[in-house]
Amino acid sequence: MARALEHIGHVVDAVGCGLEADAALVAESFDLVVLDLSLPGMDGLDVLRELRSRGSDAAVIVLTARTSLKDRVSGLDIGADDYIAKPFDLTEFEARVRAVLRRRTGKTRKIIKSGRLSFDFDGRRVMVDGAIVDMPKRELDILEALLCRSGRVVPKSDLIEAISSFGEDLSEKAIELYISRLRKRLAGSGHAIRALRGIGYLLDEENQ
Amino acid sequence: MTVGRSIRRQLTIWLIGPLLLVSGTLLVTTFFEAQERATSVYDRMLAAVALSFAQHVYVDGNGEIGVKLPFSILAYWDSLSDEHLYYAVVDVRTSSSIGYPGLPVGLKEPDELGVPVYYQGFYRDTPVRVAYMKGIAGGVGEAVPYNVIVAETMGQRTAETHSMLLHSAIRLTLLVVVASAVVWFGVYRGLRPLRNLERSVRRRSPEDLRPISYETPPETKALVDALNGFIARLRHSLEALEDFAGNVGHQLRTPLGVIRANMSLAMRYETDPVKRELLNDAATSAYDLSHLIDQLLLMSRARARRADQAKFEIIDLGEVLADIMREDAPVSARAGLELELEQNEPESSLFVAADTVLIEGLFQNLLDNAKRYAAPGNVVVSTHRESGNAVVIFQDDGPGIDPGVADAAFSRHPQFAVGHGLGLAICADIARHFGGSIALVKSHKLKGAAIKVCLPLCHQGDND
Repeated sequence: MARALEHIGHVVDAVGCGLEADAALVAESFDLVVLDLSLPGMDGLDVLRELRSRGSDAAVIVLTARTSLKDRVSGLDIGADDYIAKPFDLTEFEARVRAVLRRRTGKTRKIIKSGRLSFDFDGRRVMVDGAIVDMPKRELDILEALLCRSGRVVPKSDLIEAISSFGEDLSEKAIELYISRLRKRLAGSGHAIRALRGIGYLLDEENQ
Repeated sequence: MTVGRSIRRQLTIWLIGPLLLVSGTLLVTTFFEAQERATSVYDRMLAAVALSFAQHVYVDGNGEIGVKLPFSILAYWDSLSDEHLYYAVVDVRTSSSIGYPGLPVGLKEPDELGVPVYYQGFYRDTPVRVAYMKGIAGGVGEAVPYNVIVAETMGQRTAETHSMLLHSAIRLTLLVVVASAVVWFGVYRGLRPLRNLERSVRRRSPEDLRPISYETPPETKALVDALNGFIARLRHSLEALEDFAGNVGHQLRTPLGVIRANMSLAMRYETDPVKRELLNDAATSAYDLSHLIDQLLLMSRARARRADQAKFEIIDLGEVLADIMREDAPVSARAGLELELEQNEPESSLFVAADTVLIEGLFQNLLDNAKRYAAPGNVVVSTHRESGNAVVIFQDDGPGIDPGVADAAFSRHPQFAVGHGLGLAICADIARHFGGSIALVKSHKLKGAAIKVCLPLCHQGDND
């Protein structure tokens, strides 16, 4: 993994046990922590708890061999940004790393950049190659929801929740309509929204 | 195992044997008693006849002895029907006799006058009972000593003895028969707890390693305790084996992940097409191996959890499927696979009682199977209700599965050669465990295989 991350241009420090990981995280600050949950010395979840208790906002991806979905998402509850089950595909791992780093950067700089696409949280605007793309609020909200979870499938119900105001009753058809408009606006941006029937929507970079 | 002697037969023999012995002894004593009683009764009658004779002995004017046969004797004679009565009155002085000559005489000597003695002898080749009595007849002249001998054939007294014996024998036979029946059925009833135990052990599924808990009589408690002890030891040893399999699986995943990651990296650095192909083959094998480990882990978990009914919970199948497919979709999409979930029922309506981990494993395995044959292509998972069952169908547009191969793949003892590994067999095992079924069906949406899983629906209220 360290080699793979180095291969895509990151500087990597790798340690082999939970205590060393904790010590390294106290001593230095990192943009991304890839944390195996079953570590010798100190449990990965404890390392994560310690990290968050110190107020660190480093992006964290947990690696887990636990196969139950509930077990996997428990890492998210205590502050991981994403999780990936072992054994995983290297391409999939790299995609997750990219997505998590993008979101983390977006949070701090208030702008998410994904290829040619940029999303400015403060200005509430979208740019492709620096040129502003006009879009209505609801489409912006949908794009924001998809970008914040890029690389993962977002259920239709989550999108309805993300764009509807209190007491408003939006239909699934409405979401399909917004998605279809959004697709047209994003044409040529290097991003595609895949509709997975019955499952949800996935925002993917087309060159991946 | 060799079959020993039947407990029922043993108990019957042990109870009926002595009973037969006692009955035989009783029958012998009854015979002698009957004989004695008949002898006593008939002897008294014989004595009465002899005394009657004695009373009617007289001495005539010539000093000769004579006897007037009394009417009572003649009446008794008639009453004997088939029996014969023989008599003789012997003048002791002259040894001349009146009546039947040659009757057996003097086998016993009476002690005093007028008191008969009895003995058995033969007359005209027939066994006879004899009453022999001495008397003295007085007349006008001197007193004349005489002997009275009365003999009677023994048919009636023998018949009487035999009749008494027969009645006794009938009563004793009845007793033995009734006692045998009582013992036979009593033992049958008494052994009922053992039969219940046998049935309860026989009916158990091989995975059910809970202790035997029903009420047992004190006599079988030791046996049940011993069986429970054995079951507990067996369970611990199976758990240890399953833990071992599970741990090995987990331990294998990490190095396998490293191998796969390094292969992927190496492929990126490598430009030689031959080496790239070799690396690709190795990466594919590493992927197959990790898939196999996943299946072994699932099997290990399935076996470990099956015995534990407490882990059953109410599961929304639609939600589980959506979660699994949402997790899988990004990776599948990159591999050129389009996943689709078609829920033909309102949301949150397919509830089953099962174990979440095993149901997730079941669906993930079927999804992996469909993806493997579809790639690149489409996988459609659909759900609906069908006569009390929740139905989930996994369809792909791959080459399809031969029905014969599917049967072998779903069997409890799958062949690795059929190409589906352990996956489908484990799936079938899990579905069956939760009262469901799994089958290859005709695909309606896509041209490839369609695997249908049925699981019995439950109402959410069942959980309360």
